[in-house]
Amino acid sequence: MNSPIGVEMQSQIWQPVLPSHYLRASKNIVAGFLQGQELALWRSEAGAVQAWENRCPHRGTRLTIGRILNDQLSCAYHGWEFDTRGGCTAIPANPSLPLPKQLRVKSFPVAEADGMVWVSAAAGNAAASQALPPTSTGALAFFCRSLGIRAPMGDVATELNAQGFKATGAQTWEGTLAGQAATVLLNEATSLRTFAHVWLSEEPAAAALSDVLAKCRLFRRDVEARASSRSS
Amino acid sequence: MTFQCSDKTILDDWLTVGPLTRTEGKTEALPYRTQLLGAEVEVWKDVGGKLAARTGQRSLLIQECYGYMWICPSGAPRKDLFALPEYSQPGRRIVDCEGIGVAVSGLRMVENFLDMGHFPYVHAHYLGEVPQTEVATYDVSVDETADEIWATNCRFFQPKTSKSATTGLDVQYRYRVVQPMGAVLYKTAFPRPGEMDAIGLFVQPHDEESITAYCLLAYYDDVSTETDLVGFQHTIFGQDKPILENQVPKKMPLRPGIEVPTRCDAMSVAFRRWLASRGTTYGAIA
Repeated sequence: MNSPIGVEMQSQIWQPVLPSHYLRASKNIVAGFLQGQELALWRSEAGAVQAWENRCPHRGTRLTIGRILNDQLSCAYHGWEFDTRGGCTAIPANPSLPLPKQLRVKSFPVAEADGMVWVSAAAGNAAASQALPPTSTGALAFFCRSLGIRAPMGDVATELNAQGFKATGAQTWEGTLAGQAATVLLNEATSLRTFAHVWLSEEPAAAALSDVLAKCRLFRRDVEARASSRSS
Repeated sequence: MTFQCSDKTILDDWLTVGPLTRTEGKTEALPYRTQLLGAEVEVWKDVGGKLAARTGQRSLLIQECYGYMWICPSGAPRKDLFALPEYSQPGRRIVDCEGIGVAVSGLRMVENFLDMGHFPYVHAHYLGEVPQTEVATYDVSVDETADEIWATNCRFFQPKTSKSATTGLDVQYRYRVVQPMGAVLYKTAFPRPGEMDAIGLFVQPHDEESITAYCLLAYYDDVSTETDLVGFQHTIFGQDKPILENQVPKKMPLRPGIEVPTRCDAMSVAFRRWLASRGTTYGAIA
């Protein structure tokens, strides 16, 4: 299969899901998307990012509406607790019963690089044996925003190339937005939805940032218009 | 318009389309309109005051009971509407709490209504409180004659069990599944600890993944205003709504192994097994 966007094979496995700074140690739970899989992401007290299927194994409740208690994720529905390996450590309604050993939340391999949390959709060892996403030399000093785009990732990459961006690494494009050096990382959320995480080489003045944000919105409008005209 | 449902166990049931008050001032020309099983249904009272209903050009079998309207979508009910003798029992106060829309399968709604384990988490300071989280073992039985499921000898410590409660109370519960889209619970009446209040949950499935959940109280409470009783119930349902709308998938899996129960889920397990054995598929993943 030809690869018009010039990404390496491993990019199809590792996806940049969130900026790392979204996750504060043992504080919050954030939703992420990975090629159709909904994720619940959080960071342990020790700093390790957890990327879990966003679904409690008990009654299917999204774990993102739960909370972090004592370095464990507690489900909002019945308070079941899961430790940093995804294993169930408490069923409060039956405190005297032994916990089922096999009971765990499905978790995905995680790496942090370039200020992003990268998650692999590949199961278990296949993912662990993959090289980590390469570190780019790009402009990653200032996080600008994440753009949610209603278009397949291939369309977004095509538009980035058309606007003079160069693919420089896994899911990574470098170029300029409204005169600012920018790095764009693409996250294939679903086959029809893409997140573009936009970083700049430095924090711009307010007026320049406003221009970059306007450029981002135009970019999204153009990609979505092209995607919807093709599908209709 | 036809019902978007091929599940006979649901088509042959009596399904609510809301409290009777919805037909006030409604006529055949200007009927009350609502959605049931994916079809638009029109309801009105004819000149003689008799309820009538149709979907498209087709007349529907409808009856009025417990202050609610009930339609049998197939026109061939498998049995009479479930019994709720508390509705006409002297000394009880009947309060209609109307409905709340929830984007979930009706089966998940009913399962939530039968569940004590969520009280300290979803209804903290009302129906439960950490660390009193344990659900004591209770009994589950199937009434083959009435085709209903019962959970009995249930109890749970509740900080504020109802509007009239002024202290915490070890509350006794009995739960009763009357049909896939309906249940009744009985719980210790705070002002009359020897008696049990009754709460009916009547689910109107708009489609497989969206419902209106109606609630009817048959209470021993001479103190609270009607507004307070309704408000309390809406507070409780309002706490359940975001939980229910975040269950994935929205339809309820019936096969064991997809979702993992624990001992306190005995009623939920019996409910799922009962649904599977009678072949209910609407709002379910078989």
